[in-house]
Amino acid sequence: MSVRNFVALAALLLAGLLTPAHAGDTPHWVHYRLLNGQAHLPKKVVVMPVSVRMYEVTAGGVQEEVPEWSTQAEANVHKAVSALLAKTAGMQEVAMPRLSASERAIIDEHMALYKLVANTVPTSGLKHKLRRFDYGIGPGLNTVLARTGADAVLMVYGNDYASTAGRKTKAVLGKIPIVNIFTGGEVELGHSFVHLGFIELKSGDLLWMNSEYRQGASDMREYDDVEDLIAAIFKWYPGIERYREQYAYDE
Amino acid sequence: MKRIFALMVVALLLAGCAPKPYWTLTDQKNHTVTSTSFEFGVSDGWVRTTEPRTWERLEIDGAQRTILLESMTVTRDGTGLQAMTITRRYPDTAFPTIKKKSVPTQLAPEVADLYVAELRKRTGLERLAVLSNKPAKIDGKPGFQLVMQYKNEDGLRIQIVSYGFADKTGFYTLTYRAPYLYYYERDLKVFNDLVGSFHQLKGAFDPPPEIPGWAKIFT
Amino acid sequence: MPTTNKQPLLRASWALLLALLLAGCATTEGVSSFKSADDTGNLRESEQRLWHEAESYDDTLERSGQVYEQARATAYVQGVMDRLFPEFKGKITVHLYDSTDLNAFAMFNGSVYVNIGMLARMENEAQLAALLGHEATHFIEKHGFQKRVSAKNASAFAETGVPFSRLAAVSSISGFSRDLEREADAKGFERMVKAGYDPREAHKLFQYLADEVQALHIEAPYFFSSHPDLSERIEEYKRLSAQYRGGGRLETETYNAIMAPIKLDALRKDIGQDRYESVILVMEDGSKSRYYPPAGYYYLGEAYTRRDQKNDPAKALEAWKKAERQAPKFAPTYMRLGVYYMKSGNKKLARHYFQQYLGLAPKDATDRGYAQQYMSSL
Repeated sequence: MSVRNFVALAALLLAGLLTPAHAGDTPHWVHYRLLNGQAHLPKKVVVMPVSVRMYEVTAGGVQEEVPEWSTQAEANVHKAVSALLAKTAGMQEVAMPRLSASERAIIDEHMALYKLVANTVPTSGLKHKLRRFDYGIGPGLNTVLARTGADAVLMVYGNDYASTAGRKTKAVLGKIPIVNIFTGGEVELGHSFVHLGFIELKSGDLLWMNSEYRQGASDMREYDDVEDLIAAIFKWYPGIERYREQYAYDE
Repeated sequence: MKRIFALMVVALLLAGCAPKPYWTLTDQKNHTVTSTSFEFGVSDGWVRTTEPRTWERLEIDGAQRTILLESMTVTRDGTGLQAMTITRRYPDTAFPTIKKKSVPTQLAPEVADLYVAELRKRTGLERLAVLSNKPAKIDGKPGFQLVMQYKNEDGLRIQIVSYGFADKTGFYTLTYRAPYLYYYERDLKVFNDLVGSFHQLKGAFDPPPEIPGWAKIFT
Repeated sequence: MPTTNKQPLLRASWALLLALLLAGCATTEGVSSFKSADDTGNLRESEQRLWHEAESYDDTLERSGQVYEQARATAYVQGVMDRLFPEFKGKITVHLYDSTDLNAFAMFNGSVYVNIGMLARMENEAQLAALLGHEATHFIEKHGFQKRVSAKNASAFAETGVPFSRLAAVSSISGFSRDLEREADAKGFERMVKAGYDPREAHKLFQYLADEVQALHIEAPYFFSSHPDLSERIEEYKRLSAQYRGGGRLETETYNAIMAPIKLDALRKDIGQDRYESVILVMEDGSKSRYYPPAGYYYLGEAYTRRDQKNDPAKALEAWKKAERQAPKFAPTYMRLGVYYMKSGNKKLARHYFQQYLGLAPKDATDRGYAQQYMSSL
């Protein structure tokens, strides 16, 4: 064997040993009960209180929430989500009922638990959980929301960071050699992020979730931008077969 | 022939270079986890760290220090959600941030008090509340069972149950942390089974290891 | 051959950046202090943002269990605040903060948090008035807003690098500039005098705290901040109070009666965090310990046990005996004495004290299981 072939073979062996066993590229997550037909897709859905915070970021990186912007962004997100639910076959939005203080406390703690679950899933490093995705938050929400007739809730949260004009200028100048010695290096511009997740009320199982992250020009005060973000998330709904193919689910 | 043999040797060497996975999934063939000082059982479908952690970096009095320990972690859904940790600390560095040692003659409630003070100081969680502190037996040794709770920034109650004991080889804890809502009760039996299966090994009585050479630079 | 001249490009870039950054520069021009509760409804847009952030932080502190719930003490402290600032009644809201650090802080929205550690150290209502006067002045004079403006302007040309901690961003917790702190001292003092409190108490508060900082070799707590430092503040308050004759409202008995459970709880929490030096400093000194419930001597015994220096075991026993005499219904003392005698081989006394403990302690007391176990082994 020539030296060249030997090196090529060694490289192939090395690549084979170090390549991850699976490289999935679907951004969404599907509960195994949906994959194996033990659960049905959500039909009557309560949209949980939408939480979107919008911040202004200065040239020096100081972040300040702008309450009017957050209110506008939340309204846009809720509107876009409601529109998409209305368009999705077999799905219907159900209004959130009036809650007592104790019911509100139950809702709040479940939303806090959901946030922890949603943040843990993508960072756990447990590849076998991709094949059998079985996360949830327990059936506690059902005690409060069963009276609505809903079978699922939709968790919605996000944030948006908008750069000031000074920051944008700094970003541009930061890319110019020599100039950027005086103005400072590149700075990160704003980004938008929205997360959606369906919870089955009876079991508390996290049936489906997805997020969209966009850097740069997206502004959640603009309905069109939000509509686009939500559409990008829902593009993967429900994506059961796509998920099954990707992760070779077997029961 | 010689060349094929040489290629096989290279392939084997390369295979040895591949890093071990951080987590090992438990199935019917590998329920028992064995470390140097202890072993314990893990339920099907849970993962555990493949190898024990043998040191940690802590800030003590404003300076970074390397502290030796032996620790393994078990989880089902990710340590962000729930974690069961089995740790042995050596006597001289049993409670490093409050600078106290463990001594075999200490009574269980005294050891428990030091442990809680250490946790509070180390994590900065002044408001970590002790819900109960009872005597317990771990591997036949007299110890404590502590149940503690705090709320995170979002108001989610996080519950912690710790079993612990001190002997001449050091201070041992078996701790389970999870959100009180749904997760804690759901997986408590798995933790109780783990505690019931915990067993100290002869390796606990060997001299403690040295701090790794490279870590001494930072000690 | 034509040569490229980069200078115009550089100049243009600089000019553009400067113009945009300066246009974005925040300013405190036109910002005046609050005159009354009604004023808080007239906020500029930039102030509204800070107000909203402070409200969010209030929510976070409450839901994460950092607010110390003690209705009687909270109502009392609120009452003192309303006496100092009657025109802001309903707008400056007092909360107790669950920490034994010697600190207090004011948020931009009028929420004032006083650490239970701070309440435990104070001796009378006049000292509390000095503290509250200072913090509320930060709110009224909009020091938080001025600090936010400074931060934005200071960072305009450089990325801050260090995360701007949320609490530091919306409150007085990390202190303000020397001038703003002086303003808070002076105007808070005026209020204290106007409300009829003894002005000589203001500097005493700082003196006790300077003693503690020195004895424990700790960093000066943020309430005092390093600008100006404690000794300067003590002198300043002495100078201010020299203009007045002595006398005025103290309410020592009322203060200590209401704060008794908090003082005891602060000792318990200090031991629970291994801050035994704080407990020894307070309970060893008769002039300080007289303001604490007598059950505090139990915690003094615990502190000696933790310190574990020569003669500390004997001192611990003495302290527990004192607690037994002066606070005979305080159950933990008996548990501790039972353990002491058990370890020293005196089974009879050990049994006696464990029995006392089991008779006094509530059914769900954390040490009950141990007491029962030790009883059965004796």
